[in-house]
Amino acid sequence: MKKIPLWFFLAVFCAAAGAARAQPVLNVYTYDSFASDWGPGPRIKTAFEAVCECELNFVAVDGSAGILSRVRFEGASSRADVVLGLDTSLMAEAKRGGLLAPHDAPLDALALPVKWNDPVFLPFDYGYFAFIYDREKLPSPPASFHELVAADDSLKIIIQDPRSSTPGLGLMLWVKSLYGGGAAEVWKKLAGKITAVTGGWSQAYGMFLDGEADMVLSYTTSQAYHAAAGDERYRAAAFAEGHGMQIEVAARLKNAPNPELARRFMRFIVSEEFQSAIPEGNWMYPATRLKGGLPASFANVPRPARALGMDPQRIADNKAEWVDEFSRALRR
Amino acid sequence: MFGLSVALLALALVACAFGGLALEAGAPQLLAEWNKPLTRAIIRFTALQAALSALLSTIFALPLACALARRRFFGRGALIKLGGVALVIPSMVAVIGLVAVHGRGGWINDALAAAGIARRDYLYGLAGILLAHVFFNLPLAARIFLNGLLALPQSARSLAALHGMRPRHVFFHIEWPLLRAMIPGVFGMVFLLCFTSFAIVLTLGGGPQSATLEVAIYQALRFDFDLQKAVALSLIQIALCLLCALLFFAGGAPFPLRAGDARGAGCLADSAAMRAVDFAIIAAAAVFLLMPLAALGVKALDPRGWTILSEAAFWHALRWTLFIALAAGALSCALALAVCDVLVTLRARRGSLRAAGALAAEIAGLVTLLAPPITLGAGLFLFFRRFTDALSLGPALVVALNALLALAFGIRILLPALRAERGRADALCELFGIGGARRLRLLWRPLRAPLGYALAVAAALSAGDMGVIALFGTEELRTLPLLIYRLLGAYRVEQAAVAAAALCAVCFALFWLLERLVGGRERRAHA
Repeated sequence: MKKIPLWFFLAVFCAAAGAARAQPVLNVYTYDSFASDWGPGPRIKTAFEAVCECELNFVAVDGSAGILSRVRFEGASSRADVVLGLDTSLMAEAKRGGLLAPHDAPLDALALPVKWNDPVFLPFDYGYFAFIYDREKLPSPPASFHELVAADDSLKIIIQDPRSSTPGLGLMLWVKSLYGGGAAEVWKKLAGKITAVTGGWSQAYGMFLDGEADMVLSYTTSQAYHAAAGDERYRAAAFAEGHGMQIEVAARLKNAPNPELARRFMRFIVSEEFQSAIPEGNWMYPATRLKGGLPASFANVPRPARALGMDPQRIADNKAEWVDEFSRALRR
Repeated sequence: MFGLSVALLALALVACAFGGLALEAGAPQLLAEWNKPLTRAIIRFTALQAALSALLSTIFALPLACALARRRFFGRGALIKLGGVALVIPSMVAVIGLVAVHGRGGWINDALAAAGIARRDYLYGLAGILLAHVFFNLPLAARIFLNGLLALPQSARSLAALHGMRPRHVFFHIEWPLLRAMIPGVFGMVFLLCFTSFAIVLTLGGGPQSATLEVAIYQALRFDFDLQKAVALSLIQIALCLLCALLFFAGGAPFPLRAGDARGAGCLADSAAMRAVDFAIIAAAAVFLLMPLAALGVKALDPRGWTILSEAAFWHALRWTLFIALAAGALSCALALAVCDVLVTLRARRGSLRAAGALAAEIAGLVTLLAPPITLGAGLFLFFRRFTDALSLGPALVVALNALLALAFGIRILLPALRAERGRADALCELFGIGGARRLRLLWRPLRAPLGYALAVAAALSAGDMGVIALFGTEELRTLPLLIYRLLGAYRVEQAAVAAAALCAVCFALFWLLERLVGGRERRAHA
């Protein structure tokens, strides 16, 4: 048994040496559902590796909001070339550290609901936050955020933590933009309905599918995922006040070990190969107009009455305070 | 002297950790953090859950220990032995087992549903944290009380019988005073263990509404990368722990840990009713403790989860787990031995240096029980990040930190044995002029058993560690507990159950093998 460390180190060393000789490795830090086997990661990896003469390595970090603090923590020793999976609400905060470099990718192919000209962050998809429900179990879901807040505590929901997950942060901002100073009161009313606040989206959605709650915080486009599988039970609840919008972005790191490859990957993000993997891989709207249009599974996805958003600078200035407010309101 | 230098090395590591944090964070905003309402709420919740966990564990452990002391039955030895290793069951394993029993789709809710009663959620939040903490600490507390009861001289019981004392009187006049004296120590130990609990709260807490200080430190580092906040929270946690330790252990250090079996003392003037009550208590405890492990076993039989066995990531994690367990276990034992040696030597000498040295060694052992592993880890990482590629130091840091964290247990196990044996060995060596390797051999025989036990505990604890690896884990450096956490995060519950069963098997196998191989056959004689 004592020999394990020795041969194990040798094996790791040989593997590392072998890999280093063969091809450069581009490390992309992202969230787990993007990198997972059923996410868009594998298809994008194959497509990029076919043209880059490199190895594309997705590193799954726990929680989409934790990607950049992970890079900060690792500091100069970080092997990250690209971060993928932050969103607009984290942009201003992310720029502060001076960790990121311009993406240098053309923006003319973008087809977002808003005009985009940020030199550092490159959008790769977008979507609208929504609560997903099972219409066989919940025939009459709340028709507005107000109805959700006022609903009886027997209606159980699962949400994500705003500190670790961008949907969780999105919900917090959604509440803030609807209720402003009354957000704490709204959270106190929601507290009794919340079964769990998970660290990331995957766990929340899995718990919901296992019947642990009536509704789960996700995206309107999650409905397309079930529709593609021929399942019409799961629907996105359309709220009258409008839905929070999320634009997911990627960025190149200033200290990337492979800056040239990272630049190439940024250009690849707005290409048809990358974008076509998004709708039925990440179950979000692509950032560019696809040649074949959207898949049929997206046909019945409700378009929100109003897309809600907030100025990134305002978020960066107030996020810590709002998260404190949220955490305190949930402690009964 | 070798022992002293090793003890100083341990202290230096801790100093580096705090130096690293202080250098990065600047002056910690202690007062500002302390005054935040959220921090206060977190402290209140941390103390509340620790106090409730300690209270419940102690209350249930008392009748269990009494019943186990009085009764002999088939499987008693195995049950006590299992109680002894409950300490090393990895928290991620317990979490999966507890979810399988107490979750919405767990055994209890299945039974409720079959009986026509609506399923209820009670696992996530305070109730889940308490369940898990009692699961871990009830056996530990019961074991300590049982050791105390069995240490009662048989003559006391004979004398009581001679005077015609009824069991009620025996309890109130003999057993209760003894147990009562032990309660503050046991309560305090469980309180401290739960005060700094991490993986349980992270997975079963159910979100920000039940974060403890330890989890808040992790989140400040991992989510916000707010070093000032992390340092401030760490200092608050250490200060509070120290305060509690002084409060609880003022009457003396808590009891040594011991290995091995303990025979039943038998019961005087028995009655059928008492027998029934005792066995009901034992059965209830056995069901409570064994059900999560059984449920985990059943879950691991689900073929959907077996796909994990064909994934390279699983075997990769298994290799790292074994390596970290063995390396950290060996290092921890060496450190513990050195610290104990210093303590024994200094106690034998006179002078003011003695007091200072003993204090330093005590602190080295204690600080690892009080300082949050997350903080120590982050501090060391940030310290080394200034000089070198700290990520590639990851494995070494994980080993060193796990060794430090197991040190408190190692010292508790080795100190009484070394204290008893070294005086005797020193006298013999001086008398016959024995030196060098032969002196070591003289010490090896009596120390073998406690060393084997200390190594087994340290290795199994390190194999199941989640606190250190949560911070350092990467794609390359991933142990089984981290793999399980990530599988749960991706909601691959079936695969997580299989990985947890494997981790549980690894821990038990390590524990059993090391205790037997290193401890040798004489183990029992010293138990």
